[in-house]
Amino acid sequence: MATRFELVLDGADDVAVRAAGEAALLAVEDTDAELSRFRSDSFASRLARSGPEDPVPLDAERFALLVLCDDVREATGGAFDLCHLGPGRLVLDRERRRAHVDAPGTTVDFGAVGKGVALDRAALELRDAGIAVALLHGGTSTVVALGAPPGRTGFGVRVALPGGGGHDVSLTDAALSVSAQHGQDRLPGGGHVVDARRGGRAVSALLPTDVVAVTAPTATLADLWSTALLAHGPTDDLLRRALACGVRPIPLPKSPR
Amino acid sequence: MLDPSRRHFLKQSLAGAAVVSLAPHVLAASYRPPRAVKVAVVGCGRQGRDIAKELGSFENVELVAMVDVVERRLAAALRRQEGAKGYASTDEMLKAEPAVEAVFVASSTYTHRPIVEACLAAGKAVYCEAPLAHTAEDTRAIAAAAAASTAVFQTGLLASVNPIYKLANKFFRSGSIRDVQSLRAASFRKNSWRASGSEDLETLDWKLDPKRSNGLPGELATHQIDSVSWFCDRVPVSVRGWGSVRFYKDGRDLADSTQLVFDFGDGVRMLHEAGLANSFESTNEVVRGSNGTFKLAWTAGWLFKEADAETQGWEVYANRQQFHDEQGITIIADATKLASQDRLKDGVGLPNTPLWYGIEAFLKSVTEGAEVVNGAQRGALATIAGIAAQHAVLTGEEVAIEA
Repeated sequence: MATRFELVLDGADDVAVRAAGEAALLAVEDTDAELSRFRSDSFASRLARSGPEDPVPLDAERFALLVLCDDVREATGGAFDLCHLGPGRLVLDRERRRAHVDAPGTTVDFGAVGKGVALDRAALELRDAGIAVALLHGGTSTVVALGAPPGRTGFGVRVALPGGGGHDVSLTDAALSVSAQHGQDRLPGGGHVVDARRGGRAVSALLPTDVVAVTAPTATLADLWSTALLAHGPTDDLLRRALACGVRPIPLPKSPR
Repeated sequence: MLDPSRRHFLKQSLAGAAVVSLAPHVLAASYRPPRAVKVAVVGCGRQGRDIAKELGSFENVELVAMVDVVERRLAAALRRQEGAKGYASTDEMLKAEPAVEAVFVASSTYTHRPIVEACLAAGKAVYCEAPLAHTAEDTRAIAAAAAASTAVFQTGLLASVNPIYKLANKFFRSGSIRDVQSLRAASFRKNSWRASGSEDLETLDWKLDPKRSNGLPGELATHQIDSVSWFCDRVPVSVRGWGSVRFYKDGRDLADSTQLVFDFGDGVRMLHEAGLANSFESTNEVVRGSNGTFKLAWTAGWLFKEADAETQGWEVYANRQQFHDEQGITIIADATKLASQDRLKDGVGLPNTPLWYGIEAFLKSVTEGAEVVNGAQRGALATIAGIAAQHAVLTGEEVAIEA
């Protein structure tokens, strides 16, 4: 995922806390190995090499992830799409739990959701290890809070705003994700989040300086929906569908028009 | 006086050996057993969970049961494994799941023997992780049980099922690097080896208990002893070793840093280094010959040719690749086909994880009667060499490796 993951863990036994942290970071590494489109032995690359004659069988975890991504693709009318780099698309056979791409050379890019998946798996490792209070983030744009710091009702997380200042959020047993065009300029006109329908920058009423931030029960949902809302634009209908999934957009001041 | 261009060529050739990356991209990336097969996984630690995950990518294979003595770990594994039932013991699982045809044994090394014996006695095919056991006695007992059984038994050693290693070995046998001069292997990963969690730590922290674990030589070197032995068709006859606790001053006795020297006879030795305080270079094996050097790193492999080595036919299809400060060439199985599609670069890397190939080979033996790739005898050889290496570290003496 080419980004830094950091964990803050609360525990009395240094050795045990370190072991729990190692298990969590191993989950992040494993997720990167699984979802990276730059590794030939990854799940993403297996999908990219597949075809109607050679579909990829899906275990429960991968099937659930692809269903989630496919639902959001449908909800955004295709603005969010794992295959935004083209040329084909991902075909998900929900009945037989298999998937394949429908054109050779199609890239399957989990970039919009990979950090969230990694953080959810890391948080699961921590819970399994008996860690009840922790804060985890991937690349500072997706955050997961387990419990709350002693004596507080939640972890304080600040969403930085482009014009300066920030919006403070208290996070407890939930995830938060932020998406914005600024910060990375990989597209010709700047920005990095693509509207797959146009192959360019996000459309909608959003300006390049606007920020979309959401909280959700899981980091996967938060990561996915913050990107989808930015790519498509936060229309009333899409916001309703996000809310139905437990995703709550954080009202942020809009950039000056 | 040499022509300047020729002098330049010689300088380049001698300063940096050519590099060939081995990448059999076009080998089959999926496998579907010809009939349905129900399987179980014993041991829900990291390796057991990795096996369970890989099994999910095979159609016609149903993981119906998972076993672990630690309730919390079993529950964690079952949460990730839809449809599988959990059991606290192998005996319980064998009794309740008669339709299970094959069992993957990925429990703590010191627990393997009774599990393997029970599964073989029940007529189940067994895939047993390496090392096979923590003592020579248990290792030989497992090998004897496998030999006495008609059921399939495969050791979880992955070099000879890995397409990159197989391709490299084919080149080796055709004389690519000529005769073996020396061997080197490394296994590094920064990790304390402590089990996470607050309960059952005595059970879970077995890797750090000298009575139940052979430390880095047993758990890590075993795999590379097998890799090199298979690759060069030689087995080690003795070993010397050193080890120390360099980083994790947390009360452990087993070394977190080890250096081993295996004698393969005829003047050929393998230096093996392992550590838990540093990750640089990860896991790899190096085979040096007088015509070149193979470096094999599980998901990638390279051939560094000496300047005076002959050019072989397959190099015509090689793809150029930069490696450190040397220009190398990438070789790809079936390169002609990929080149015709202008997709040579797509050939770099292994299409599946090394573990996937181990499982594929096992499933082929179970469902198609294919010859077992890594039998118990081979697993025992590598396991006993690993046990001897740990003994050498603990005693400071040269220890003979008895096949």
